[in-house]
Amino acid sequence: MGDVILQVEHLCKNFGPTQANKDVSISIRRGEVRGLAGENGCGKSTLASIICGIQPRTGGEIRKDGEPYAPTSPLEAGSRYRVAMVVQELGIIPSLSGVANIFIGKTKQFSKGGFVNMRAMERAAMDIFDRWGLGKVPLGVMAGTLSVEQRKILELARALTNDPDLLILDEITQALSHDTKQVVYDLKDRFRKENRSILIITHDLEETVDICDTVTVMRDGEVVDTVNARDITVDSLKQMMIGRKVEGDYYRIDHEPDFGGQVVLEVRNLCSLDGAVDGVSFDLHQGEILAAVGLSGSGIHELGEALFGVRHKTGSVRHVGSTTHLATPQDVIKTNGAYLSKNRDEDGLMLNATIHQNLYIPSARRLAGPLGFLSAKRLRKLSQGVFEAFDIRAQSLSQPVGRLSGGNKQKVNLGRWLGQELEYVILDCPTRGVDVGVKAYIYDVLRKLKEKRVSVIMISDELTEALGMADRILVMKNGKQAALVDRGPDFTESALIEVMA
Amino acid sequence: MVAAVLLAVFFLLNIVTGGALITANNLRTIFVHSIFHALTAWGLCFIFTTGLCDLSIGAIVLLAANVGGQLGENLGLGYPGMVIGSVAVAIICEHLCTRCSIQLGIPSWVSGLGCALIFEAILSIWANAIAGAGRQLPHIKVYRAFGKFPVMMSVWVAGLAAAYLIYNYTDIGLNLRAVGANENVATAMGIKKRQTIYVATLVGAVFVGIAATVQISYSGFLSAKTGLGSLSSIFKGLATLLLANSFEDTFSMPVGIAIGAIVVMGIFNVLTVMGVPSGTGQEMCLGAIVILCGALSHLHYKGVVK
Repeated sequence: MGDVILQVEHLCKNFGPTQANKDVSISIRRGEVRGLAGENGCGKSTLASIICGIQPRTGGEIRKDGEPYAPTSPLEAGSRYRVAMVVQELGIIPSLSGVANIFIGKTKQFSKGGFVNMRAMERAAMDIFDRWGLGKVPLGVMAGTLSVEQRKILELARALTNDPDLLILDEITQALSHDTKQVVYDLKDRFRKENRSILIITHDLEETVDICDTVTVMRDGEVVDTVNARDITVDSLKQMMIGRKVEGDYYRIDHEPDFGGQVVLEVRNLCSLDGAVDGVSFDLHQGEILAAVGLSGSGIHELGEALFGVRHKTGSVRHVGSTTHLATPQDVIKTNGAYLSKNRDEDGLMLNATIHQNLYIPSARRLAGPLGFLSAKRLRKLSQGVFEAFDIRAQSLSQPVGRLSGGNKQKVNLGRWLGQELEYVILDCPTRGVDVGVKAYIYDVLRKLKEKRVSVIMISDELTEALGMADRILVMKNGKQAALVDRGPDFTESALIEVMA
Repeated sequence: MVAAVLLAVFFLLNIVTGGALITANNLRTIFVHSIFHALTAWGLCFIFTTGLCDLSIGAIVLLAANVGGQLGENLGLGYPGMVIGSVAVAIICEHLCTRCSIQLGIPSWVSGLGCALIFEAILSIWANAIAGAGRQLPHIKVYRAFGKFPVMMSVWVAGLAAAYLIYNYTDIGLNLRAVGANENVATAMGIKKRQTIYVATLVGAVFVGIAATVQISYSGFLSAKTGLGSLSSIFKGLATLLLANSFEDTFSMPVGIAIGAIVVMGIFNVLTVMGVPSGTGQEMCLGAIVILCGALSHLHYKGVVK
């Protein structure tokens, strides 16, 4: 590794009385891939956002290539200092094409007399995709029509337009499927080869240990230590993050499917009108965890949307107990079902509303009195209960959800549904963007739901998660059902990849 | 699909009206009548896409058209005075309305309604003041070329070309769409939000000013309205914009507006041919058409539209 590219010294960041970063000092060298690990709310994203100019620091100093560094915006960080970042939350303009999204704010370089040369812009975008091996994303269509991971790749391409020598990736891989993650890993290798650096924030600790050279661990806004990735294990990393030994396994330890014979949902020849889901049929049993996995474009996320009724569909989804055909989200809710979108910020949460409002809204009808009036006390009790049960780290229930860290947002998103009496639940990437502690908690919640005979459809981009938690795995490929595998001896990552690929 | 359905409806209505709809003369009438609404809708498109909902456009058209008429016809400044006067008034009024919303931090529809009342009142005060001297708001007799076919056609072509190029191929076009869709991302990408909104509304105001010139040149006279009476004059433009929204997957917004304006005016033409009364009967249909166009523009959206 080469010279120090970025030196952060005694950096502090306060939000009112809250100290998000306390006396943080790290240095990153050229050609280094640095992981930044820590629990949700430990200050990782705050540190990254200060480095890339999204927000100012309260104190301390940053030097880039030995020179004082204080960008006032991501644009300045990119264009003047060659520091770029892909943020955790989705940041695209849905009504603009992919190309326009990549160069938005920088279109002047393609302009003459105020008119933008779109062809030159397209060529430049293609060059970036080719240069960094970003795969294929339709760039001419409106970005709003692209999948979550295609949008994430667009954001990555946008960051690369600055030709950065320091790239910050904030939980980007958790939005990506198995094959698209490889694009990021290849990019990391290229960066290393070209003596550029990456600061990567991920809650996937196996990934952190596998792909990083060094890892800085943060806890409660402070740096605990920076260690060589070769010298640590996932368990020791967990221990450093949490400050105590994490006991037991994340996942189930049994090797047999374990669910009742009673069918809860009967899905027959389910197709989405756009062809993303094509002829999927299965039964979901009482107390079963059915995982859906597949590569990018396999249709697993679209399957969740079609089941919930937010995607136009044909075929039949029947709630067996009430013989209701589930056509709309209201049908799902009426039959004691719930759905959590992968796209948490756009489809899941009311970001400007308080934690309290987000938590009680799905239960409001249930809690209403005979005349439809709601008791503020009962609502408060419910949201306070979920707030404590899910260990949501915030100043109070009155804090707007938009100001929470990614992991805490996911806790609110899950808590609002899982705090109810459910018969079945569809979870699309429930552990996306959450730390090891919350992940363990979510798996524990899933286990408890299973014990209560609640049925779960868990759509996951992480094979280990699906293998660890599911009774059966539905493997999808190009929108079609490729296999339905029972928990047992063939329940291995390699066997699944063989079907998926 | 929407376009195919509309075409099919047109052919069906042609049969219903005994072939009166699709004739050269009638098509020309529809086209001529669509030009004012297309120009207004292009203006609305630049203003509304930034996220502003300015309801003062109708009042601006009336005021701008009369000022343009006064300068061109009554003060003898000819076509340059007419066009420059209308456009300048539209720019000033639109800028005031936008600034009012941004600087005071109030919703744009509130500032729009307030400004509409003010602009209507200004025109009304002017009309009353000169009525005392036995005069009226400008009657255009000489400078009516903007209301006649060849010039109107040229204005339409130029308007379409300008709107298309600005919307799709300029920094301002891309930036205003970015600000309207996700202002946080746009700001993070270095787009100056306020500047973008001001420039976008300026572009929109130019279209509104030209629409005002065309309208007074075509009608010869535009009377003052009060109590938000001006609002209804942009409903056809609004229907056009909503319809263009439903075409957006197929056509760029400016092209969709050109087509949408013809479709909307075609529907009114059919209503006239079928003998629907031009007062309340057609206004009821206009209301229904605005709702229909709104529904079409969100055809593939499954959530609750707000």
